[in-house]
This record gives sequence, structure tokens and C-alpha cells, in this order.
Amino acid sequence: MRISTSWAQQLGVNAMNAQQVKMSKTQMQLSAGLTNLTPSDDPAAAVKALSLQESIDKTTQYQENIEVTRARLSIEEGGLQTAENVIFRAKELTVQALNSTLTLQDREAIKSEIDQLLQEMVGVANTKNANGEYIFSGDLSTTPAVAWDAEVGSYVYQGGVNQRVLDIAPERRVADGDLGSNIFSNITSVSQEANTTVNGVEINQRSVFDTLQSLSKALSAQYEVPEAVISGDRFMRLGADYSAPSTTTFDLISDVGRTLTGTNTLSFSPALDYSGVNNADFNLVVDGGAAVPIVLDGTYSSQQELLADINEKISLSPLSGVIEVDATADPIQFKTLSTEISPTLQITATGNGLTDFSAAAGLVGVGQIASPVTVTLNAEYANLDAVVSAINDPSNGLAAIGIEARSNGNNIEFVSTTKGKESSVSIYDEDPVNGSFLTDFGFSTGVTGKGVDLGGGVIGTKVSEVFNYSASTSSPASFELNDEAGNKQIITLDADYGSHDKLIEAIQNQINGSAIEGKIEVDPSANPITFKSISSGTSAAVQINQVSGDFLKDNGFTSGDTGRVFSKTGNDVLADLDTALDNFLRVRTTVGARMRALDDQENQNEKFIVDIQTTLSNVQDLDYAEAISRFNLEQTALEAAQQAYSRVQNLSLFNFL
Amino acid sequence: MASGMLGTAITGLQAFQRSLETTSHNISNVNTEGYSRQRVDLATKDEQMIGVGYLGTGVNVVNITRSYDQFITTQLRSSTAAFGDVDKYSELASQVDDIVADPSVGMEPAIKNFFNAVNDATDDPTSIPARQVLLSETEILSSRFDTMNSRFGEIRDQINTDMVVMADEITSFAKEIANLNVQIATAQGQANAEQQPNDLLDKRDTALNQLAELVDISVVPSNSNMINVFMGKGQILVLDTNANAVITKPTKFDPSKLDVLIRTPSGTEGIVTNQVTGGALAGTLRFRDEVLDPAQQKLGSVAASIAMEFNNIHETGYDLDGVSGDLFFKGQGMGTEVIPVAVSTTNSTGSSITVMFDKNNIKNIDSSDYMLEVSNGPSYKLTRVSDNSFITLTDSGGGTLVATDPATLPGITINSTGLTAGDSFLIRPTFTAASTIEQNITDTRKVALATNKALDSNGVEYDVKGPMPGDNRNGLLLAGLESTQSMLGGTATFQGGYGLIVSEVGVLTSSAKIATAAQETLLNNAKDAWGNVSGVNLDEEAAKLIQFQQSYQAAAQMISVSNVLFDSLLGAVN
Repeated sequence: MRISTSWAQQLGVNAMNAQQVKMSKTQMQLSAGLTNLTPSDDPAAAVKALSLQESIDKTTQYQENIEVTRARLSIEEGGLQTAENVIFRAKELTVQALNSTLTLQDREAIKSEIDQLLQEMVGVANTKNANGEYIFSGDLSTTPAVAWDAEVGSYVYQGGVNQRVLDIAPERRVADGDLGSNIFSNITSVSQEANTTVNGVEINQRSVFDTLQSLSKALSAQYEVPEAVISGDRFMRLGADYSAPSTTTFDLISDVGRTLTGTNTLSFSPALDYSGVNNADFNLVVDGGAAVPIVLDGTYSSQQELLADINEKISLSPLSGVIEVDATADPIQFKTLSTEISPTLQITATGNGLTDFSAAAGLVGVGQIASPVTVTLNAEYANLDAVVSAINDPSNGLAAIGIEARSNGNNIEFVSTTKGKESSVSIYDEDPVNGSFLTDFGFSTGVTGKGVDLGGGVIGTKVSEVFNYSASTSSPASFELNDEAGNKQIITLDADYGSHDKLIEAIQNQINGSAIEGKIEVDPSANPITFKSISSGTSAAVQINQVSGDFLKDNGFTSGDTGRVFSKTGNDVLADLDTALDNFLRVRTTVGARMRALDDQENQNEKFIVDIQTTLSNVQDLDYAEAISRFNLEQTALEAAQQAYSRVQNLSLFNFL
Repeated sequence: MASGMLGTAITGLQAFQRSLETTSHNISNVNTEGYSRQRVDLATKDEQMIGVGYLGTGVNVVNITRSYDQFITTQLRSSTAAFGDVDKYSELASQVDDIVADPSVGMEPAIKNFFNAVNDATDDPTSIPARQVLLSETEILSSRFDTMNSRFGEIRDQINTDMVVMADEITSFAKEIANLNVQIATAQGQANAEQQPNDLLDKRDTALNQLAELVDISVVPSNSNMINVFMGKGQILVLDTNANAVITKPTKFDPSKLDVLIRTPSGTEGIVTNQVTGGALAGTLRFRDEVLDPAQQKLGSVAASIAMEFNNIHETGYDLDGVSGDLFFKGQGMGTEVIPVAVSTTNSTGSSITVMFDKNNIKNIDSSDYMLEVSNGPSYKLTRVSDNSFITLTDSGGGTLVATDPATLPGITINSTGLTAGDSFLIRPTFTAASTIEQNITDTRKVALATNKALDSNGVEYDVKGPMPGDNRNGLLLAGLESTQSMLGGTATFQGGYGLIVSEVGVLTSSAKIATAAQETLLNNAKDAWGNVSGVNLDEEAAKLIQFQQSYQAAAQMISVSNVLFDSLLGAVN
């Protein structure tokens, strides 16, 4: 065995090199504090460290999201608390106002505070967060949640339709607020004014603003009869494009009653006898379809009996659910029930009988039904107002059928220009369907809105049967009619009027020219007798008081009967405020639950991060004790290699020659 | 008698002088690379019959030989080639290894920061600063992709330069060996077969060794002590006195890649890229095919996946002004930009294909390049270059090529016009994706974080017209992409896809380092063995020096003795 001198030298150098490489690596590990400096040191650990670091970063982001959400929910909770306090105070004031000893002036004082509370409630609804976003406006966070709409005459919700949610954990999302519409607007109401329909569904909901506003108005004795309204349920504030080829048409009808009214008032003394050979029969024809025969074969002693029997016969016929007879109207009145556009209702004679209901031509023939007005939209409309004015354009002729369109913030409403229960609005898609207006704006075809009667009148409970007040011991029969403003008139009846119509005519004649003219009227066709307030504002109420005689008794009135007074509104408002309070509490509870969920998730995330960090540390962090002792060992080895080299280099035979 | 003695002594003097000269030569060349120590072979001179018997007449120098072991030399050469291969591979792979793990260049922090910015913008969809941060992070993300891609490009430039240099070196070594062959043959002609031009042979062995560092060679002896040298899998490099040249040329489809060719003196060229084995050249080629190209392609696939998935959701959303979302990222295969396709120079006129990323199938995006070949029928074959598996395509009408077997294309769509049999195209969906993909949106208001969807009372979903500034639902979908397994056929997240690059590069580098250590040991063993046989040991030479000096002195003493004897004889006569 022999060793080459240069190789022997190289071996020494190699040994020192190897030790220096090791030392340098340990030194880099020490300075970085990491076990693995490059992925190749331990590829599996490198990838594991990447994914662990990613988990930590992602969870840290979730923690940030939780912080943001918590801050927003805190603001919301504060707002809700204020709203609850407003409700508490409003309830106190309402109870106070219901005290019957208060005068109109006392109520006016309360009204001014209610107005302040209303403003405060609006302020709450338009609360902003730190970024200047309206927290109750959902995804339309740059728009105030509620705003005064002069056209509608109330505060309308104009925020978005979706609530923002944030990720707080994988597969776990939390809403960072609530939609103002769910908190302030869609509150179940017992008030008749709330009797609104959205897309044909009766919802009986009213906003807390409307509740406070109606309270405020009632306190100054203003009662407004609501009109029939139908509204769409889609967010359409920014209009729609109906320029060709997207042109769309739809039909509006104001009178869904589609009645066919006879011309004769029947007499039931003696009773009508259609039994046996006297059978009265006639045909009903809807939309030019098959004639459906109705045969009357009973003996009838009153209008009600007759009408009830006709309805009974209709219900057994194929027209059940399509047509009915008004249960009280006199002369007789047929109505269609279907919400389809039925252009005609026809009644034809088949034998005898009909002449009793009607004058010669009377009911025989085609009954007139309100014609639909077809509205065509054929341009691009930049916003809702543009759509509204296009629909209301005089050329469409909506005025003729007493309907107008208006915006209610985010959508369109079709409103009857007449008020009260007689008003109605229906919307239809033409057949065949032309365009997409109904779908776009969230209407269903055939949707009908009807007005309600706020009870601005008093109605007797008996059908008039006594018409003679001349010879009675109690003659004259007299009573007093009051409106809430203090206008009054005593009506005196002292003759034999002979019939319902004459009696009513006599009463109306006495009203005419009195202090209550234009304020109160007697319904010319209603039986039982109905006194109606025909004014609005401070005098929109009717009270009937006994003076003398039996008129009240005969017609089923009680002295002091009052239509539409503050107590009704006040009690409705009280109930509605309770519901609103419940609603706020419910939302606050969900906010609390969400905050708890945030805390809970935050703790979980925190623990997760700590756990992962521990694992990550095990994977990538350097064991310093081990590394330092290794470094010392390597240092020793290097010194040994250096010494060995120098010793070997000194060994040469030439030294000894 | 005295003259015989004098003659004998002179042969000794001459022999030991040669020995001393050789020892001196050995000592002088102790540090000469590849030098094999030499030895003077002595033999007795022809003896002389002097009647009583045969009388020795001294010593003869019969040969000067080098200590040489054919087996050990071959061993050293093959070890050198094997080490050169893994060492170069390991050195280059370490560069990529460093890049992918470097926090200032690596993608992991950039992807994470990007999605954090998406989250923050989603938390505050109306906040312009949050949107601005998102756009800045997007720019950082795309520039990170670009930076890493150009780092890969720099490495590719570097290995291209390396390859050119190595080819030149191989060529010059081949020439040197051919020249040495000439010299050795000439020298050999002046001597008998036993007597060899040791230093020339050492020089040739050294040249062969240096050549083996670059490429694996096999050596076959030829006439007149010449050798033939073959590289790789048997490509002729040196044939006796003729040397071929090794050159590099851009590949057919990709000018950024070089092929290795052998050029004969007559000018015939042949591509031998796939025949190169061993040595630094093979290490470089292996690195390019196994580490660099796949890493760059995988990086491209991560970039394309993020961009396409993000675009898909972003385009369905609505921005701050209620306008439907634009492309969030732009780049090859998106919008109007096409995926690069290299066209064969032999293709028929008017044939072309347009390749785009398939937005409905982006999860199947594959990092390999694909070769589209048209044969008679026409039938279409799409070959996956990385493993030569293929997909059969058919024209579904209008030139749209769809996959029939297997039924899925790798995340791309192919539209063609005028294809005829014999046409071929190289489709590179991911190779340059990381550099071409960049942010498309620069206006903060154009980030589409809203979906503008709402439900009506019938539960029917509809699109809301107009701006919904507080709507963050599209943002939630975008942020959710981070956790969505939308890569590798729906089995990995973006980070997972990137992690795959890190782990693959890490594993390859790690195994290369281990192989380098092993080969280094084998090389050192071979060098040790070679040194043991051929190396110069100064102690040994010193001993020889003393030995030959003493022998020389003894022989000189013989002359002195013979002089004394002669003088004695003269004195006796006088």
C-alpha cells in the first residue's frame, strides 16, 4: 500500500472542507432558528410547514373578520337599545293620550313629543358605522335605510334586500347586521291601515314609522282612509330597460267587483212566491261561455232570504266560486269573484221571473265590466321615477280608471285614486304574455289590492223595516249626529216615509244645509242604514246620539255609537308598538346570539392557532441545545482535521536527509 | 579485464543516472494532474562467454514505464462522469430549491396576502382603501409569479450558456485527444511496442478524464496505441485522428431550449440530446427536464388556475357601480389573448390552431406541454409531452377539437382551421403562464364584490339592476377560492398546487444531494486507488533518490577502483 503525496494532501484538505461545510450549515441553522433551510433538507417537512403556515394565516384572517363583525354588531345593538327606549316612551305617551279626559289641545302636546320620537327612530334606522355605511341598509350600505317619501306620505325603507355576511371560520358565516326592513318595516300590525298586500299576499304589516306617524296624526284627529295599493316585491330602484325588443305591456283594472246591478227594488209584502208553477228562472253567462240556468222555486219573505237562496243555487252550479250575489244589495247585484279578466257577465231570461228584478231590459243583456287599461313600456328607464312617470303618462289613460303609479322607495306601487273600501287595483299580464314587466317588478298576474274602510261611520245592525214615524207614540223620532270637530245636527223624523229609500232621502235632506253637510252623509243604498264620514282630518268621525223616539232602536243603533275615534287608533298603536318592541327584542336576541357565536369561534380559532403553531414549531424550529452541542462537536472535528493536516505535512523524509 | 570492469561500471553509471533522472522527473511532477509515476526498468546486459563461463557485462536500461492500471483508470473515468452528472444536477437543483423556499421570492406569502386582501375587501366592500390594498396585492402576486418565472428563465439562460461552453469544451477535448492520438502513433512508430510515450499517454488520459467530467465516454483501443472515443450511448466523438464537434442549436419548437448535436468534419449534424448520458452535460439536461421545466410549468399552472378561477367568479359579479365584472386577471388563454403554440415549420400553409383556457374545466389544467398531431382521416392526437400518454380528439364541427378518449382536455379548448395530415403543433398552456398573467383591473371601483342577486317573495332569484355597494357575496365567493380544491382535477388548493412544486423540487434536490455525496465517495475511492497505483510519493522518491545515488556512487567507485587497478598495472610495468 502506498499513498500518493498530492492525494494525501488533498485528503487533509477534503477533511477540513467537509467539516467547514457542516459547521457553516449549523451556523446558518442557528442564525435562522430553523431546522430546514431549504425544502431539500426535508421536503415533507417543508410542504407541511407551508400548509401549517397557511392554516395559521387563514385563521388569523378569520380572527380579523370576527373583530370587524363584533364592532358592527355592537353598533347595531346600541341602535336597537335606543329604538326600544323610543318605543317605551311612545307607549307611555299613547297610554297617557288614551285618557278620555284629554282635550284635543292636550293631545297636540303629546303629538309634538311623538313627532320627536319618530325622528329619533328614523335616526336609529339610519345609524352609520365607522366606515360611514348605513348599518340597516343591507347591501345598499351607502343609501340611508329610511327616507321620507312625500308622494307616499310616509317613511319608506330604501335599503338593500340582502344582509352582508362574513366568514368567521371555514364553512361558518355570520351576518354583520340586520336588514332595516326586517327590523323597522315588516312588523305585524292589527291596524286596519296596515291591511296591505304585497304581490297579492295579505301581509298585515306596517312599519314602526307608519305606526308612530298614524299615532301622531290621530293625536291631531286626522284619520286617513287608505287607498287600495298593490306593490311589487323586487328591488327596482334603478329602473329597467324595455327598449325594443324588450317592449312590455300589462293591464290595470280598477274595479274588480264587476257587478251587474238590477234596476228594481223588490217588495216582500206579500212574500214573493216562486214555488210550483211560478218558478222564476234565468241564465248566467260568463265570458260568452255556456248559459248556466238558475231556477228560483221558494217563497221569500225578505231580500236576504231571496239573495241567500240565489247564492245557494249558484254554489250548486258550475259557476260556484265564479259569481256571487251581493248579500245585502238592493236592487240585486251580481258580482264576479274570479280574478281573471272576464270581459262580460251576462244574464238572460229563459222563462219568467226576471222582470221582477228588473225593468224591461233590466238585467237582460250584457253587463258592463270595467275595461282594463293596457300600459306599454318601450324605452330604457334609468330609475323608478322614470318608470312611474311613463306609466302615469296621460296617454295611457290610467286616470280614467282611477289608478296611478308611484314609487315606494325600491319598487312601484299602483294606487287607487279613490279611497276606502270601494277602491281596488288589479294587475294582469296580457294574454299572450308580452314582455316581462310583471316578473321584473315582482308582481303576479291577477294580483288585486282592495281598499279598507277605517270605520269612519256608524252602521245600524238591523235592516230597516219601520218607515212610519208619524203616528207613533214616540213621534217624533229624533237623533243627533256629531263629528269629532264638534259639528252636530239633530235629525227629526215625524212622517210615514213608506220605504227605506224615502226614509234615507228624508234624513239626507236634513243633513243638507246643516253644520255637518259635507262631513257626514247617509249611505243612499246601504241597508241597514249607514252614516258615513265623508271628510278627513279632524272631523273624520261620526257619533250618533239618542234624542227621542225609536229610530235608533228600529235600526239597531246604540246611543253614543261612534265610528273612528282616537281610542281605536290609540289601542291599535299600542298593540303595534308592543309587536315592534317584541321585534326589536327578537333581533337583539339574535344579535346577542351572534356575538356569543363570535366569542365562541374566536376562542376556537385562538386555540387552533396555538395548536398549529406548536405543530409548526416542532416541524421547522431548531432545537438550539442540540444545534449548539453539534456546533461544538463540529468545531472540535475541524480543529482535529487542521492539526492532522499540519502534522502530516511535516512528515517528509526529505527533512531527515 | 580492467576495460571490462570499466565498461560494466559505465553501464551502471548510465543506468543509475537514468533512474535518478526519472526520480527527478517524478519529483518534479508530483503535483502534475494525471501524471503517473515512472520507473526505469533495468536488465542485465548480455553476458559474455569467456571460456570459463559467462561473465556479466553490466546493466541495461530496457524501458521507462509508468505505473498504470487500466481498470483503475477506467473506474476513475466512469466515476468522474457519474459525479459530474449528479454534481451539476445537484448544484442547479439547489438554485431552484433556494428560489421556491425563499420567503422574498416564494409564492406562499404572496398568495396568502392576496387572499387576505380579498377577505378585507369583502369585509368592507364599500371601502376604497381596502379595494386599493387588494389591487396592490394583486400586482404583488402577479409580479411574484413573474419574478419567480424570470428566475427560472435566468437559470435557463445560464444552463444554455453552460451547454454552449460544455459543447465547446467537449469539442476541444475531442480535438486534443485526436491530436494526441497522432502524436502517440508517431512516437510509437519510433519505438517498440513495449516502449511507450508515457507523458503523452498521461496527457491523453487526463484529457479523457476531463472529457468524462462533461459527458460519459467509452474508450476503445485502436491501432498504434490510438484510441476511439464514443460519448453517451455510442455517438462517435474521436475516431483515431479524426474528431467530431459537439454543438448546440435551438430546439424545433422552443428557441429558448437547446439541443445537443454532433457534427462530423464533413458537416453532417445529428441531434443527440436524448443520447447524452453522464457528465455535467447530462446533469444539465436532466435538470432541465426533471426540475426546471416542470417547476416552471407547475408555477404557470398555479398562476393560470388562480387567474381563471378568480376571473370566472369575478365576471359573474358586479362592481361598485353596478356594472358586471370584467376580467380580474389578463394573460394568455384569457379574454383575447391566446395560449402560445409553436408551429412546426413543415406545416401546411393556412393551418392554424387557437388554444384558450377552458373556463368550465380549469381544474383539470395540466402542467405538461402537449403536442397536437394531425394524421390522415383526419384524425387528431394530443400527446402529453411529459409522459407520452395521449388523448384522441375529434372535430366537433367548425374546427373545434374535443376530446373523445379520454373525454377531457387538460383545461384548454382548441379551435383549428385548415388542418391537414402531417401538421403538428406544440401547445404550451403553462410554460409562460406565470409571466404573462397580470392584473387587468386598475380601478378600485371595478372590483366586482357584489352578486346583485335577490330573492322575491316567491323565493325566485333575480338580478338586481344597479349598484349594490354593500353587497359582498361575490367577495365571499372569491375569498372562498382560497380553500376551494380547484387544482389537479379538484384535489388541491392553490397553496397545495404550489406546495407540490416545493415538495417535488425539494425531493429531487435532496436525492441529488444524497447521490452527489455517494458519487463523491466513489470518485474519491477511485482517485485514491489511482493515486495508490500511479501517484508520486515523495518519501518513496527520496528513498529511491538515496538508493540510486548510492548505486551511482558505487558505480563511480568501480571506475575509481578500475583506475587504481590500471595505475597499479602501469606502476608494475614502470
